[in-house]
Amino acid sequence: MKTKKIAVFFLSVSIFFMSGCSRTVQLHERMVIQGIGVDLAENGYKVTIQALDFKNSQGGTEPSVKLIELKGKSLLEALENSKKQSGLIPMYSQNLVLIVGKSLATSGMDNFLDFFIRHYEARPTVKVCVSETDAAQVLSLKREEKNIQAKEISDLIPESLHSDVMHFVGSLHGKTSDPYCAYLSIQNNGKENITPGKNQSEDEGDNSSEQDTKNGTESQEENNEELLSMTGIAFFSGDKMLGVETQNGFLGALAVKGIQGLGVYNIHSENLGDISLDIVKTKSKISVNTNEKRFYIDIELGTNALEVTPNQGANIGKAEQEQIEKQLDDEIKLICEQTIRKLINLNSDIFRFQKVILNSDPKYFQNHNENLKEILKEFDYIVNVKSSLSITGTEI
Amino acid sequence: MVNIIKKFIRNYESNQKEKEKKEKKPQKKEFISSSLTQSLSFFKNKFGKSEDLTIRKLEIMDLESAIITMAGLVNKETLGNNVMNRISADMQFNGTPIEKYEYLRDKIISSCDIVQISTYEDALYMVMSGFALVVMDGCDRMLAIGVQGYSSRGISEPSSEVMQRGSREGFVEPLRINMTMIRRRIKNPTLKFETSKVGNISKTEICFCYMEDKVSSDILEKVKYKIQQIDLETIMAAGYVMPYLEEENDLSLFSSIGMTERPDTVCGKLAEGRIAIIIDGTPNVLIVPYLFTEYFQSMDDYAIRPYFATLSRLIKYMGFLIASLLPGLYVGIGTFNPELLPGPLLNKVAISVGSTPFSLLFETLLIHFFYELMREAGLRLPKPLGHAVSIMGGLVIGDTAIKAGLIGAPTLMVVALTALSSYVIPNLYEPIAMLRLLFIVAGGIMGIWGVMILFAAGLVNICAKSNYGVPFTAPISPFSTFGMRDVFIRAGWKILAMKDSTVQYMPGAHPKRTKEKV
Amino acid sequence: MGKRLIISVPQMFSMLFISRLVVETTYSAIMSQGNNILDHILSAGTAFFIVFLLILPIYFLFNMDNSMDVLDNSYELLGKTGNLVSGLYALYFLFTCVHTVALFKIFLSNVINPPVSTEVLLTTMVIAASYGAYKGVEGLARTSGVILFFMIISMIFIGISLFDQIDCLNFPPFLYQGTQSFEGGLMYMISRSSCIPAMAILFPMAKGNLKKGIFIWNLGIYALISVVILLMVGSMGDFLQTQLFPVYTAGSIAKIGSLEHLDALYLGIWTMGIFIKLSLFFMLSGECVKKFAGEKLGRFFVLVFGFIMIFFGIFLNKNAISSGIFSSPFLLGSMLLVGVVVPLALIILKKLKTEKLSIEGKEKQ
Repeated sequence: MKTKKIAVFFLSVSIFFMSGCSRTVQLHERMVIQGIGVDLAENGYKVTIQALDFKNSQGGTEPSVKLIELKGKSLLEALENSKKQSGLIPMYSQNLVLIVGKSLATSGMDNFLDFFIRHYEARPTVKVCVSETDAAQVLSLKREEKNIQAKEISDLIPESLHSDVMHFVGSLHGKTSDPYCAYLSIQNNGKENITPGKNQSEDEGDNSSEQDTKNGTESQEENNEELLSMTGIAFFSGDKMLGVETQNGFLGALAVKGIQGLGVYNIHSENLGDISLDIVKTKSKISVNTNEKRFYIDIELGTNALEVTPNQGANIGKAEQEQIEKQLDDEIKLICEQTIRKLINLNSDIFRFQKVILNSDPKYFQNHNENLKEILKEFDYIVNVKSSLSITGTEI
Repeated sequence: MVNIIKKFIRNYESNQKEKEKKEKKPQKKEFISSSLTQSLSFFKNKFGKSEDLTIRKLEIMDLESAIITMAGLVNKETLGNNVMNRISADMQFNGTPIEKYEYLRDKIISSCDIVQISTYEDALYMVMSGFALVVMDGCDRMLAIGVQGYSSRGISEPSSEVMQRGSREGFVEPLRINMTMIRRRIKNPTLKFETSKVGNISKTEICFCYMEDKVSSDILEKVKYKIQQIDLETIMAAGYVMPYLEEENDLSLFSSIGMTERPDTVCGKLAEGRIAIIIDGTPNVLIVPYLFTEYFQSMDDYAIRPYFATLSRLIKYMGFLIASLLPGLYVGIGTFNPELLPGPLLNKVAISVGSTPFSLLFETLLIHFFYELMREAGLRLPKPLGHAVSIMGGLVIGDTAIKAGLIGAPTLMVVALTALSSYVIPNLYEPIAMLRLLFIVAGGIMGIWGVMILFAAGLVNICAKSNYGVPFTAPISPFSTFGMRDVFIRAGWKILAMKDSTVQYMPGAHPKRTKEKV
Repeated sequence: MGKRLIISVPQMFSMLFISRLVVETTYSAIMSQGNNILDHILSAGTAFFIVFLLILPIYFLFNMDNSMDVLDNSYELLGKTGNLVSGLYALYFLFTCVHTVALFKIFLSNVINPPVSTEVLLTTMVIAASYGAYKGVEGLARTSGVILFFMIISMIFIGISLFDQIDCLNFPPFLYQGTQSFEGGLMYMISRSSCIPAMAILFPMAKGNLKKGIFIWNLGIYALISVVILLMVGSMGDFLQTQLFPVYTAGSIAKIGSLEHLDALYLGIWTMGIFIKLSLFFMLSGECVKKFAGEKLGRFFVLVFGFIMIFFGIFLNKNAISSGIFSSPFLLGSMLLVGVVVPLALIILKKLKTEKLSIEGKEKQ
């Protein structure tokens, strides 16, 4: 009798626990999303999803991906529509990148970003970027007759840029700074220069052979080379995109924010000729004096001279090195000051000047909290650049 | 309501007491008769038509006598030289039968292994142990002379505990030979052997072996008490005794009784204050109390340099965790929490799961079932057939099943890795296999949460276990820094031998405070 | 209960440390009603001293007779009325268990949202915790030692990975928005100090230097909270304000090399921590019940308590965790009653009784 009772007890317990199995969803019944592109559409959003394609992935070393286009009044509605289309339950935890079309970014991003904060599967480390074209176009780019993978797009955006959901949403909700994110462009035949820090003169020339492919992914379609690359940063005021900083502006923004990997910068000196400098180290410190209404931005640069083509007879000694450093300091200072002034005048505080005020003079911040962005326009921005140059492969 | 419960409890208690009252009546011992005819008829009655009882009647000092032996258990040469030749000689001695018996015992018999017995029960036991019984008419006692000479397996290296460096000796079945192997290694009078008989039918001899100056008297008393309480008819292997030595109401998967076939291991443990229990007829010697960390120690660790020994220890602990947890985590995460998997790994697993017809839980259980099936088949098969099993297993499961799309490669790899890891600690194979199964089911039903909850409950199960007042998980928890010198790391001999480290002084050990009452 | 030195002081505090840690790592700025999480470092500093003060009555009561716990004292001083004290403590410990179960549920449903039914998970957790409680304080104490080791290792691991992501600009000045956040944090920390009443039962069981143990435990807890807040704020900045369980989010952004998704690590240690806390408080409530109901009837009550936990866990509303009986003032009040008021009253009664006895002795002489 006792044995029977025990058996009945264990049976009922196991039935209770087995009920956990009933809600099991196997991995292949899920749609593993790798990348999401969001564009503005009539009455809502057009969402392009790049998901793993299990059926066509078997046996291959690299998993195949498929694109699914969805529409909905809200992002969640559009994404949930994917269930109806594919019969699979979307899984957002493996999403690597969120691409937002320029038109949508300009009209405001706050409405749909909430999904990426609240959904339990969404990760704050997902990279965020704005594309010059529609996001759908970026995700449907082909490379060697295969869809470009979200991983490759995500790799275009360096970690140090902090162009992710966490930093974007943090800036948006913190009210002490404005968000920014990476800006992606597609070019045919590499007509546009993509590397920050190249001089305007170089940008204008058609020097596709010298194209720096470090930050670009080539894609070939109908004999046309299509290149997706990060060409700058999109800056925002609140949740609305105001514009893009490319080339020198991009370099200036990165330098002021102290972000590593500024890339190659060319300077020309009359007595020394052309010198290509690789800016390998960037460090910046922003301080403020609210009484004098001045911001001090101290930037330290560590550079390597990669290509030195001195004029005939010119010898690079210590004096010449100092001359190069000074010229670099002056040029970068100018670029930085122009960039800061431009963004401040446009009401975009991506450099977190408000936060600097809050940290160093909380009272001032409290008193002027309402119109701090306007007050920032009255401030002076004094940039000090100090670079140290090492000429590799040459004894000085 | 409360009254009903109280009544119920009272009834239950009175039932329990009634059960306890039913005690067994002790068997009365029958003393040896002084009549030879009566004694011989006792043996004839007991053994009946059994062929192996040999009774040789003869006259010793004009007294009707007999020598009783069991065929095959005595060495005839020893019997001839030490007994028969001596008593066959013309002896003259006048006196009472008792005086003649004493003369024979003290002056004639040359064997040094002589026992005087006064009950038939002892007589039966001795004759069946290979002794020759000398029975003389008019004497109410018998002389048991040690002339054992049964054939036994030679001393060889135990196949289950192979060592790279060190002794190649392993225990054998006869108890006395095993005792000599221990004595040869510890030439110290504090090493004691105490024997007792267990098994109502088999009367198996069990020997407690301990070092008097190291062992805790409380633990020793409790071990003896527990052995006395064994109520078995036969004892054919050490495993029969083990449950009786465990903690009361112990439902743990892990055993706190060690088992070894190596005399050097036993000697090492004896020096740490443990008690070895040698059971006649089995080469497996039991060690009590045994700690969890000892499952990860092997004699080889002490024969090699400490650096590699430490690495080997860490590998064993890792192996234990992998062997018990990995499949459960794999099933749990793969089924319920795939978001925890890194991207590239998830892709591989998802593709694999998508291409097979079964769920991850069923697939993993299936491969485990196949693996255990192959293991069982290969374990007791002759070696040539064992190869056939491994070929079949490797080809059918490893290759064909994947190609046919029945099972996924990542699942197979997880199971293979698990199986490999479990071989690192062969003594823990059984508990690991059970744990693994439980973790797979928990993971398949509740994901990573199920695995973690089960892990925590399992941890309590191990940590709460203590045998003879010594915590099973010491010195990990309760923690002892000095005790760590031979747990995750194997310190050098200078540190190992720094101070006395007997088991009763483990952190948290209270040999006096145990559940058992002596 | 009598003097039963069955665990060591470090073991006891490792149990209590884990019990505190699971509450602190589910630490939520929204629950503690504050905007500037950094102010909670000041709250932690203040709580460090307040907790010392709150422990004093229990410590002094224990020091008067170190073989007796608070229940023994109440029976000695109040006779059969001591049953009330036992009942009160049993209810408080059960209440703490229910609160922990509720915390587990909200974490499951809001942050993880597992595909497994929360009812099944909650029931499993309660059953496992009942098993832990059944195994007794010795087993739990030893388990805590092992789990604490895992916790510290994983905390260090997550800490190191977050340290790299700290941005000094994310640290706003203390109290710049007023003291609301500081007060909210302080209230949150003190009201959830259910370990203080637990000490009233556990002290006589522990062997070792109690003063040192209390100091290290208290310092360890609040130092760890401060470090966690610093790491969270430094690495996540304003993003924290959008998160319900920021420590979990911090775990999810942590990565070392190719090792990503360290939230799995956090999940693991947190689950085990919850298990220890539930088992410990369940065991304590069982001990209290056995005091007034006896060993056999006590077991029945423990079973009932288990069902109560499951019932509350299943039917508790998601939002109930920070309101009603789980609001900070109620938690604080109940904690103060069993952790401070009752021991203080017993001390006074004991003093009065000793004085009375000494006067009677003098009169007899």
